[in-house]
Amino acid sequence: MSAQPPLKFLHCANLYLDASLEGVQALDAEVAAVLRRATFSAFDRVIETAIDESCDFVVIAGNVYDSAGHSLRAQLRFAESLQRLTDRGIACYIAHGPADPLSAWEAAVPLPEGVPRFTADGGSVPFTREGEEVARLHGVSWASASARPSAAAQLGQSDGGPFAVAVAHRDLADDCSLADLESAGMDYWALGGAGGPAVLRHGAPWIVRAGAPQGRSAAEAGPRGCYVVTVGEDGAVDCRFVPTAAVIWFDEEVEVSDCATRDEVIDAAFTKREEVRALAQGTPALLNLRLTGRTPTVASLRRLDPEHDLAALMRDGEGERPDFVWLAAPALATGSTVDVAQRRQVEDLVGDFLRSVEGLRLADDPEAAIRTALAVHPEHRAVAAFLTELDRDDLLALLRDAEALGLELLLGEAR
Amino acid sequence: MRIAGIYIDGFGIYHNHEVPDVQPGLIVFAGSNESGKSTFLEFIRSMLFGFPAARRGRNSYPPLRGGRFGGRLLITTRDGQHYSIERDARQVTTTREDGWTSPAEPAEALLGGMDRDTFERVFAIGLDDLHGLGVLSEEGVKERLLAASAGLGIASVPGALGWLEASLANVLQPRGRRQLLPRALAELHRAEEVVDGARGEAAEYAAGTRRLAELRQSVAAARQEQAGLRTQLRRVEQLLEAREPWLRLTAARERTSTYEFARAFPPDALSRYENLTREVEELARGAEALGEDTARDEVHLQESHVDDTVLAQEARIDALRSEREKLATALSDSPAALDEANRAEAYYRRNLADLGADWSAEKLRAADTSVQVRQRVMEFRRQIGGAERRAEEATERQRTRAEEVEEAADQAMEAQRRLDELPQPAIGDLETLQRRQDVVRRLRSPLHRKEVASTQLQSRQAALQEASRRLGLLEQQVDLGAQPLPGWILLVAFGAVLPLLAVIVAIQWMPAAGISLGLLDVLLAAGFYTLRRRQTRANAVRQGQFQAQMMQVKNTQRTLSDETDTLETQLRDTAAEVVALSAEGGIDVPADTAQLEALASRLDGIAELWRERNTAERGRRTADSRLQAVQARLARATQEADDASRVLQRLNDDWRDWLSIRGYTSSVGPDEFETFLAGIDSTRAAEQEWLTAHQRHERLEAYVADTRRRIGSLLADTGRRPQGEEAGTEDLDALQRALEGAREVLRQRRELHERLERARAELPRRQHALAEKATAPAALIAAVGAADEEEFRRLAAANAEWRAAASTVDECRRLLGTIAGDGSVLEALQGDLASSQPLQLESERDRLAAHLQQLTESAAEAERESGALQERLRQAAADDRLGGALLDKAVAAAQVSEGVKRWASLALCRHLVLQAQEVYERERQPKVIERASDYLSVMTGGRYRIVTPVDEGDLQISDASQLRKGEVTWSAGLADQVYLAVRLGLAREFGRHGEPLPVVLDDVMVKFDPRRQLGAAKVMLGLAREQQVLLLSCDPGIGRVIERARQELQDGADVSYYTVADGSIARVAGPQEVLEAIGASAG
Repeated sequence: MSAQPPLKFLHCANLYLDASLEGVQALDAEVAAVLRRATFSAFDRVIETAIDESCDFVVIAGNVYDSAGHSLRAQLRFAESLQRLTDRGIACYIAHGPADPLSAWEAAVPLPEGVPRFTADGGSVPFTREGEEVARLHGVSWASASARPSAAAQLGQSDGGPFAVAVAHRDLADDCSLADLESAGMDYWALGGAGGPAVLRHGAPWIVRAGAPQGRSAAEAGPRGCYVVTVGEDGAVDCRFVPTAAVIWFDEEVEVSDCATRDEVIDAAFTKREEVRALAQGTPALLNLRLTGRTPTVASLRRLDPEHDLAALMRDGEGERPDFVWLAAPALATGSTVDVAQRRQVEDLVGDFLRSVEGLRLADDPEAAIRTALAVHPEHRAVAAFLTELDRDDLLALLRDAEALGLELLLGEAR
Repeated sequence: MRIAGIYIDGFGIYHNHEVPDVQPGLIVFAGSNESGKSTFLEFIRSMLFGFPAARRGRNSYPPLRGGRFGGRLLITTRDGQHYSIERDARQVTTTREDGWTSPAEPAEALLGGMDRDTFERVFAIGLDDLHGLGVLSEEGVKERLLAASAGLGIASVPGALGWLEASLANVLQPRGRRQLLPRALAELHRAEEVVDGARGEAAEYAAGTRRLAELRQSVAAARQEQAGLRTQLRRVEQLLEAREPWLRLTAARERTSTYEFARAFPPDALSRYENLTREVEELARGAEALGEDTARDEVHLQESHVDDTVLAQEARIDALRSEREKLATALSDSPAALDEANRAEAYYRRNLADLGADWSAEKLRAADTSVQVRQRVMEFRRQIGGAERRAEEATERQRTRAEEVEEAADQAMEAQRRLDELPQPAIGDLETLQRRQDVVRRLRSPLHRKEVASTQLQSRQAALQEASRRLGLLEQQVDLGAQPLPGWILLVAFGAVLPLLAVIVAIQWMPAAGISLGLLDVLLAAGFYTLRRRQTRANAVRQGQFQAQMMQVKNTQRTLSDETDTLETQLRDTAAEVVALSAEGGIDVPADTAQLEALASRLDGIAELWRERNTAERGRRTADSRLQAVQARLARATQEADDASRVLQRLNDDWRDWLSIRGYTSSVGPDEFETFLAGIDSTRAAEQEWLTAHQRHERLEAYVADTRRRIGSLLADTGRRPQGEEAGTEDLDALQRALEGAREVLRQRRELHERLERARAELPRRQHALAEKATAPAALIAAVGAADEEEFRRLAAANAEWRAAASTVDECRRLLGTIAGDGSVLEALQGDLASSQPLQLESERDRLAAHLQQLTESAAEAERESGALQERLRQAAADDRLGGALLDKAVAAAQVSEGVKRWASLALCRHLVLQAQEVYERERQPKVIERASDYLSVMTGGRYRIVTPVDEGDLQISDASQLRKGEVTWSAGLADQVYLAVRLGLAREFGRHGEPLPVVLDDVMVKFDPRRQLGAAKVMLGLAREQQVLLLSCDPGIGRVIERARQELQDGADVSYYTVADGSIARVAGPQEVLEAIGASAG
């Protein structure tokens, strides 16, 4: 490419405005207020970044809202934010994703004039500056949550004209291959899709997944934000990540094998909390904490109610801090120091117990066997609906927990 | 764990008793009934688990013989650690040999969490505890049994299941303690309802927005129509408003035409004419009043006169007037000043007299009160004061010493009295006394042995007699036997008598009856024959038993005879030892321990008397020494008091000499001399005050006399006389009033003169002005062209009419211009006014106003609706309900997810534990039954084994032929053996998996026959190899049973023997001592 007019744009996706942050087991009023604002705050930072960086346009690669939580407040804030951009002459292009497909888009609040939304059939629009087409934006939206747009063919082929930007919400693994995208003749693929921010391909064509401006669960731990893309006159592309998360998720483990007492375990958890605070650099954080390792204190840990005894301690006073680190969901993944394999060989009741566990684990269909074992309990009906949401891995993890707990109980450690 | 030592401070009949160095293995505590064995067992239980609560009907074992409730237990655990458990009524302390201590119950720290109930049911059992198999069905024992035999350490399956049930209840059950899941589910449903409710808010917002646009459009249209109506309405109202001024304008124009002839008449001519006429009249009245004032002032001037004599003394009067207040003060102060001078003189005289009768004014002035004199007085005072203090101290010491001498003398007399009151000891030689006491101590042991041997001998002799008696009875039984009926009697009865009787009956009465009687005879003969044979066999068996018993009794006789010989030898030896020792001590040979203890008591009494006399003697010597010491101190104190008194006397003499030399009164002491000097100073000051007051009074008197003289002179110069005897302030006041009156008359005369001069000059000027003004009105009438005043006034009225009409024309034109708003449309307005009718205009105005009102109201309503809608939309835009509900839902969902996982984990765990328990119970019976079966087999010589699983509850035994017997068919002895075997099996199984606790058995074999006793002893010896066994027994032969079992077993545990008697536990060498101890106590 030659004689390309300089260009700067911002690429973001998965705004999920007004969506709630998941996996937090308890909140206090201050933290709840921050979390409820989190997606808006993050999007505000995206908008401010576009304005501060004097971008020419902004592309949004899908999932502005979660159609399940498509609130009026989100629509209004989205419209207001786009208005801020258009008032400053910054264009905006939107492709819809599976969470906000065209079928679910509610136009209760009209968007500012001149904000194109790509259709399910795909298409392209020019970006002009002083009458000259500086770039061409190709895009495609999801018609419905299940109607995934087909591969690159829908976007057409760029004919080598101005800088070509493709906007789509796609997952490479499920949707199309990297080769499909490379062969479409685009200069920059602005992708949405699952996963964190990543430059999937450096160089022409640039293939970039923006991730979300705000992580919504521990699965989206780490930095979240958007990309600012600068195209030089010589066609050189600079792609820079800008963090925007209002609350950063951390998914951490604490190794407690060396802890001799329950207090030491709790101290280790507090130490981890402070490490996370330092890493967050003043930004509020949500911490998903797992205690791991084999320790003699595991018995007292098993007796410890993670939510009630540990989390309550660690959350005390955090809500009052602007740089809070809120323990979202504590979990115990500790094991006993007992050699289970060897203990299983002993001909006594503990051995019988461990062999029963092993019998479930090695069943032809362990998932079904575990479900059957649970179904015999009279309280099963009360939780049956929720048990169906657990998959095989979840059930095997539960079996591991049950094994560890039973071992500790029978060896007299947990009482 | 084993018990290594016992110390009982106070518990039941035990007091300050120690059982040291308790060995592992089997420990036998033998003692007769009520010797304290059960108390000892309870002590061990209490030390491990706490004292039994004092309850009605239950012995709480309070210390009966003193000491602190409790004691100490030394234990050694399997790992070789040594602990001391010390307990009293309030606390327990466990101390390890390295110094570690714990206030926790030892059951927690050392016994693996064992509870008292289980310990009592399994480990520390008496005969009453032994009965029944209920122990196997008790939850606590069952739990521990399963745990112990299943490798669960201190845990138990029911305990684990209980914990899981409680945890599950907390998670899921609505009545659970924390209800984690139900609460989270409820919160989730609530949040979902809120989310569903908030879903439609976007559609509502869109509809609201559309409605708002419609309303705004409607309001704009109404506003436009309102504007047109207001224009029309304003024109109609304009015409209505302009009509009245327009009519007035037309009328005013007509009036200006009528009075046009007077238009040129000067507008102010009439007012000028009226003013000129009024000015002429006022000038005439002014000239007349001025003439009258001038005449009146001249009369006043001639009538007024001035007092010239007073005015001539004006300066002198003013000068005296300035001293008027001073004179009045001097007149009032003079008597007071005289009184003051008199009082000061009297005070001075009194002070002078107080100094002394010989004191005069001259002596007062000559008295020396200088600093040097005062310093010398202070020196005297210091010296005399010190001497007085020393004299008083010496006197006080003398008095104290005298009291001490008196007290010491009393004490010496008391000590002597106490010594005199003590009797002389019966043994005058202390060495002899101590030797006899030593002999008495050494005599206790042989005398005790002699008594024990004597008692045992009596017991054996009695037993020997009993054995002889029993042997005699057995021999009689053997001799007598149980002889069956002699054969010849049967032969005669059934062979001759009855057949003969049958024949007679058949022949004489009834043949059938005779035949029946014959048959009966045959049957009876057969029956009696069989009975006789059985009797013969039974007699043979009984004879054999009697023979065996006789052999046993004879063996016992031999044993008892041997023991009697041994005891007699012991008795002789100990008696000889007692005699030898008595001779050594020079005392009579004591007949028994009581006699010896009585002698010991007498010797102790003599020794106590010796100690008391020694103490009294030491007291007397001490009192004498003290009396001598305090008497010496009294002599020294008396000497010191005399010396101090002499020094004080000499100083007082010097003082009096010093006073005499300086002329002061010699009776004054140094302490009072400062007061005396102050009196001199005070008298001097009083003299000074008297002189000052006297001088002031004289000055006042002189001033009053001079002033009176000057006032009298002034009165004479003005021709006046004093009002009183002497000139005073009242005369001065009268002169002042006269002077002020003369001055006022003089001022009034000057003013009259000035006014007269001014009036005389003004009067001609006013007369001239009046003459000039009188011609001006006529000149004005002529100037306007009127013939006379009447015409002049008619022209003026016409001119006023013309000017009013012209003014109305101007006003109406201005008003119409204002209504029209613009001068350019004024003509059009007037045209419309000319062409319109008022009634039509008013009708049109009403119609337009009503229409406008209607439009205004509808627009306002639309605006209100618009405002409300706008507010609703604003609130909807700001509504965070959905976001909050979604967050609540997410939190609740996370809690539900966690709760479900927690429940599933617990439920799975419970399922697996139950499954494991089922497998275990099905496939691996508890070892305890197996072990109990072994124990029972040993006890019964291999005859019985236990065959029923424990958990089925129905324990059965089987013999060698596999015949099973239930509990109800067991004999009392067999039942006790089964119960004991089960408990020992439990104890062994507990010990195998945890800390092996000592087993304490209290008289558990009383119902066992010797063979089963031997078997039980073998079981205990076997168990004692693994864990300590404490066997408490009242059986004198228990030691022999144990020893025989040891011999047969060959590898049994070590055995230690103790005897228990009346709260005392003593270790003995072996079974023989046990036999003797129990035999002696029984005897």
